[in-house]
Amino acid sequence: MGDIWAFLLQTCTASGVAVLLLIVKAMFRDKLSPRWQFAVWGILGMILLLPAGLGGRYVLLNWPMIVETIKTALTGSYTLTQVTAPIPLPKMFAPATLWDWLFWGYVLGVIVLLARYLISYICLRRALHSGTPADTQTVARIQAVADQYHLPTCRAVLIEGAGSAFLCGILSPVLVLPTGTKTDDKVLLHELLHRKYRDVIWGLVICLLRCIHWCNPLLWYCANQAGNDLESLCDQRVLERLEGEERREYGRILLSMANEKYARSPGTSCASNGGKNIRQRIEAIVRFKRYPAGMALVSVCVAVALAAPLVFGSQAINVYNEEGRLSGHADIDLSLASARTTWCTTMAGALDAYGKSLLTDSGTYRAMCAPLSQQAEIAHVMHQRQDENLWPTWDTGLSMEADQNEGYYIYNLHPVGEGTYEALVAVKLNGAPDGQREENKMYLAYQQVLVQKEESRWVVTELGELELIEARDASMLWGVEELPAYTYTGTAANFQVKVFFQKSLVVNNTVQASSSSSWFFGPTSAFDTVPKPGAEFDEVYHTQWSQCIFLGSQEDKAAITRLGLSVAPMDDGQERPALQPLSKGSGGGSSSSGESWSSQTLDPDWGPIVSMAGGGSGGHISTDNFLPPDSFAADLYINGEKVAELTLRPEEGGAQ
Amino acid sequence: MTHRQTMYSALSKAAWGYFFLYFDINLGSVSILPSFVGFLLFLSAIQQLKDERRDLELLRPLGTLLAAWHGGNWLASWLGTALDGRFPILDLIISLAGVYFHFQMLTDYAALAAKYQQPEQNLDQRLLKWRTCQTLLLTATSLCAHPLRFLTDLWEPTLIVLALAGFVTSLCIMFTLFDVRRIFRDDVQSKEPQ
Repeated sequence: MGDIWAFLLQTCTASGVAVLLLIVKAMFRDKLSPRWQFAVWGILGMILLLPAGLGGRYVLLNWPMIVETIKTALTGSYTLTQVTAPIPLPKMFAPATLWDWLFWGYVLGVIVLLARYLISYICLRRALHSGTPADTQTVARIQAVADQYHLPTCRAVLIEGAGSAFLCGILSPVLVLPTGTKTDDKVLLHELLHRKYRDVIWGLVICLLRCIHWCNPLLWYCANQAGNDLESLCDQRVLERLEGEERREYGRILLSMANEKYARSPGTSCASNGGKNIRQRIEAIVRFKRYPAGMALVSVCVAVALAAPLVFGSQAINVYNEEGRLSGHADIDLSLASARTTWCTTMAGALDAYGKSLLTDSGTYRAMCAPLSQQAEIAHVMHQRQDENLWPTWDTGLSMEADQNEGYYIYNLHPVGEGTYEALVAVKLNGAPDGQREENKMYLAYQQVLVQKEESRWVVTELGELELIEARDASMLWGVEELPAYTYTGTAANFQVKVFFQKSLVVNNTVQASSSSSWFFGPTSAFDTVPKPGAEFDEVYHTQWSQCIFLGSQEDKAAITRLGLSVAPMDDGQERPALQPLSKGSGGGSSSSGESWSSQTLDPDWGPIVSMAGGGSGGHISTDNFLPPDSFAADLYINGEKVAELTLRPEEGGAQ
Repeated sequence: MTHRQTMYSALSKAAWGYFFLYFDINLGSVSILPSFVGFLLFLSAIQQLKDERRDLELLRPLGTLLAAWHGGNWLASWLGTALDGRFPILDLIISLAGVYFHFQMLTDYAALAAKYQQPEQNLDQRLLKWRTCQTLLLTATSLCAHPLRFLTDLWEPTLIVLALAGFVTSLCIMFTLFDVRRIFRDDVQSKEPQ
């Protein structure tokens, strides 16, 4: 916990669990054993020791979002609070803001309380040194109790002024007895049972957690309850070893301690722990029964069913997107807090959120996948638009709306460094930017982006402005020739051969449209515009097309009447694949392995550029290799004869 | 009503309670065999058997909570919605209450069977066996519904397998309870209570 917000997140998360545990414990108070009643505090212990918000998860309530919203409202900051450790780890710099001062105040409180406990323990140990060793008669009684119940014994010391017997110390525990009164054997049994089960350790853990969360009264209450449950558990152990009248006698002894004062000190356990607590323990004693062995099953099952969702937590799936629960800027800040805390856990998830932010102009979606350094800027734009009475969207830079039903497309994803990728995101526009829509044309906007991991979040950074282009109206899934593509070239027989390669990746965003279904055609599908932060790519499509550019003289050109090209992808070190031989006729084809071939009779006035057929393949993804092929093998045919075997190498600069 | 008739009636209600709990026939989104009726039958059985088994009385608050939740869910189904999943904290509390409620109720019915069955019968052991099965299944279902759904995509098929196993177990519990009920039929000789 490096700042006050991290502490707030940690303590709020633990408080939510504490409330649930108190409810569940009350529900099972008269049903499950004191062992279970104490053991379930272990769940709270685990929550207190696990950093809150670990891995983007929250427990019971979306505390990270709540804390982020409060932080933004109070400080205007759009950073992301993360708990790195469950203990305060102050950074060594002078406090600059009120919140820094508050955090230092909190740290000081922890130190003061720790010091107080430490001093009280040292004083106690010094008192033990000055105490009188127990007389032989008392030692014999302790030994007799230990022998009777097969318990380990320990050194005993008599101290004047001790209210009642208690155990002190972890490594070499000492049984402290009051002078002047004879301590009952049952009380000795109680303390020796504490010794056997090393309950003092639990007391110490509770004390440390008290120190860390000293300003949370709910957790102090829980610490008191846990301490009392520990004593009740020890009572249960005592009662299991006693019979009939002895049990009633034990209850009477406890009752007689109800008015005794007690001092809480770490590293000790005491049968007398205050009147109110003893009253609760007496109630537990009244309910005492030997729990049958079969009860262990349900005790464990209930504990596991309770612990698992609390320890594993929940992952926010849907982001809050300006739903009007708060007024003014607060609603935007709540949305952005939700976006920051519902971060993208996969590269596909980040690109999905980015694509959908282009489709919907949603600043919230953009914030999900934006680097933390851009969060304030996004918020500023949204606030500004709201102040101008405009819908508080993100300024994508698009002059017109994107086609939400068409979705977005990711092309040419490739690694550019360790954990860093570049890709091209494209969306189809609802019309021509200039309003002059042409037949068989579509209008696209695309942008080159960088995808990388920022700590645990996958984020997308724009590498340039959105570009607008006009393209032939066709399925964007199988590539768009007008968009940048990887280019592979080679030259032979007066021809420069070029193969263009595009790869598109798809996240499955098909949903059944709730509003439009026909009794005859059934339900229709639509594109889901809600981001999926943990999405994976479901499908990949490869598309390639080729060109032959004539570089020779007019005389040579006149002699060429037919042109053919057969190509196939090839990786470095791989043997040159056997390419499809071309027949004398015209035609072409492609295979799912990426091979394509075509042969055509040329017009008498064929230009220097001859477009050759391409091909493509695609389907469900089976690899995470996003690299384009290293090269293409190509066979060039002129007038029906193979004239060259080429290796087409990629042009510098990637997809262009 | 004689003691035997009371026992017979209570065990009938308990067995039919499981029928309502695990059998589901829907008209549109509304169940015509609502689960809350099952819990009301359990509560009625508890009322009739409270003098036989004092521990059963401890189940009344949990039974009332479960009946109220399932009743609320049934009413919500009339509006085309459901309470399940809307309040995750309440879902968790209800699933914990359910695990304990069935465990303890079946434990008590097994104790009754042990008390009244003929020496050669082992109805109590059968009930305890199915009780253990059901407790484990309910726990596994609760785990599937909460943490596992965030950890693996297999939670949904697992939930279906668990639901099927739960259905079979409930049938076995139902038939065993009917067998226990037969002890108290007027034409069947039972041993005297100890």
